[in-house]
Amino acid sequence: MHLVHLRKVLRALTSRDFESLKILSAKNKTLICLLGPILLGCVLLYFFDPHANDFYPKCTVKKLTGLDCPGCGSTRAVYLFLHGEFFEGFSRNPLLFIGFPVIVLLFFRPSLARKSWVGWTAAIVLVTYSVLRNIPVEPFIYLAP
Amino acid sequence: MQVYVGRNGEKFGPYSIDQVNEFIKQGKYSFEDLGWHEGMEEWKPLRTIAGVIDENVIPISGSSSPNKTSPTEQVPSHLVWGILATLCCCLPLGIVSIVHASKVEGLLAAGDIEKAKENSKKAAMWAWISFGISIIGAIIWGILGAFGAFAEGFEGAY
Repeated sequence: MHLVHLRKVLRALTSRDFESLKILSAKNKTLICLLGPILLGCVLLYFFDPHANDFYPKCTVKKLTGLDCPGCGSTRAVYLFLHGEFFEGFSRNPLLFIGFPVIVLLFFRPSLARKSWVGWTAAIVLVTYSVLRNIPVEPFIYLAP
Repeated sequence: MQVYVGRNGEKFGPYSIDQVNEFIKQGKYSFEDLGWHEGMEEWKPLRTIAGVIDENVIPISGSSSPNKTSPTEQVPSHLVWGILATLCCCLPLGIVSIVHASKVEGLLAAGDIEKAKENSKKAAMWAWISFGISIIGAIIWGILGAFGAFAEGFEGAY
């Protein structure tokens, strides 16, 4: 997104003029809708430890089956990351930190996201990660929270 | 319609529109070469002649559109949503979404626009179903938790 574009977006947001909000493309609106909860999540996690507080959403898969889904540990991971414990945070859910820049890239490059090999790689990585992190054996346990 | 192609002062053809399109695809002629058919007042560049397609447009219909965005731009794969859905909740449904998203490109390249759009819609649908289930699940656990159903704590579920 060019800087010029960003200025237009900011001006539309702060102008309180609903007409000008229409110039926001669908993609920018999506971005804003995503950033809101993400920022909120980060703020909450900065102040409230998931271990001590109950209001964080819990993983259905984990509760029903006891298995770790690919997202398990992300809440704790972000909490630790925000408090400076980068290595500990990373170890709670390695794929999250590696995958996050990838997801951002795909969001801004839909032409790349459209390619078949990207999709298949993502599917294989996610499935493999889910299987591996549930194996209670030495190297794989580092993938689990 | 019989079209003549003019190039460097020479006249070629007549060709049918399909032949002209084929030649352009092969690189034999270009959009800037002049063309003429019965009813035209003067020679004009081939790209302005009705029926000559823009090479970026996958030829589902014979007519060229004044708006030159190619159909590939308009069929999103929704891959990002599929990945997020897989991460934040349902692994199986999220994978289904991603698989559908992966198929879009191949189908578009093969010219099967309808199937591509179908897969695109399904990718989006499964992603939304995943998000929906995770939200409903979170609400249910939240309600149950508020009633003390999980007295022993939530260890490890986040």
